[in-house]
Amino acid sequence: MSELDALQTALAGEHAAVHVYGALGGRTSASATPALFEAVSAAYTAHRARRDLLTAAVIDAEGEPVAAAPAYEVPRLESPRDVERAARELERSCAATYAYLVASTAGAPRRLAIGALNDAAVRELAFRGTPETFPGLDEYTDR
Amino acid sequence: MPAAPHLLARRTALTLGAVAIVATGCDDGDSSDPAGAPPATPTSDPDTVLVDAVLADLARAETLALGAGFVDLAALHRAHIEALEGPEAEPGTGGASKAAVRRAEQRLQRQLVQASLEAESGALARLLASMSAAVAQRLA
Repeated sequence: MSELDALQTALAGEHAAVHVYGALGGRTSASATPALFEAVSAAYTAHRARRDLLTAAVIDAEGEPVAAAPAYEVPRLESPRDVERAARELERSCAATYAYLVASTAGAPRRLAIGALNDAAVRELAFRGTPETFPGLDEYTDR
Repeated sequence: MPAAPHLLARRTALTLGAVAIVATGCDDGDSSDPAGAPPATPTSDPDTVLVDAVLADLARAETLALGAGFVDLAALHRAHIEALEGPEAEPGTGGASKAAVRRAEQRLQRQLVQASLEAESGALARLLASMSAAVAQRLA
């Protein structure tokens, strides 16, 4: 996979993350579950920022940034536990995507990917995730 | 914990990487190197040097964590050392304070990030980045 392809894949992932976090925010109550609401809001903001950074990185690599899809599949959200689980799985998916981006890039894009991988791994903990031995590396699964 | 695959035969893989680089140079028709130039040796491979430095950092962190009684943290470092095919654990020494261990972990996390940035192998960079994320989770 070329560096540009890897950046585009990560950007597509961030488009999806922004969409899903928007849906999660819409199913989270600031009064009933303030900590979860704050975590979801912070994650939404963080993923929007990553999306913008990746868009810039794709342009720097002389690519045409992939657009967001018209719609994304959102998991069933009937309780705060569902929201936590969806967010946790989303962060794990992002960590895996950024781990591949690390492998496919060098220099500034790799620095971006390492930071994003670290952020996703830490953010996962806000949604009842547990520390892992190798975040983002499915072949070392210890979850 | 299920067995984690090793970065597999670190030195072998890195040596193969050196061979691939040499082959690529031939394909590109690069004539800047004299035909009789000696092949790269494993010890001169930048990633081999990098991994040795990371292993030393991990071993120090493991020893400190063991000495301070942070068994789970030491186990994390041991798993990372094994993934890089590092040496057996050494007994923990001293009774470092929690603050000292935290400072050491923060330093290790930065070292892993820097090592990931410097790695020439994408696979090694990915593994080191994951290790930095694992340490970041413990610091969170």
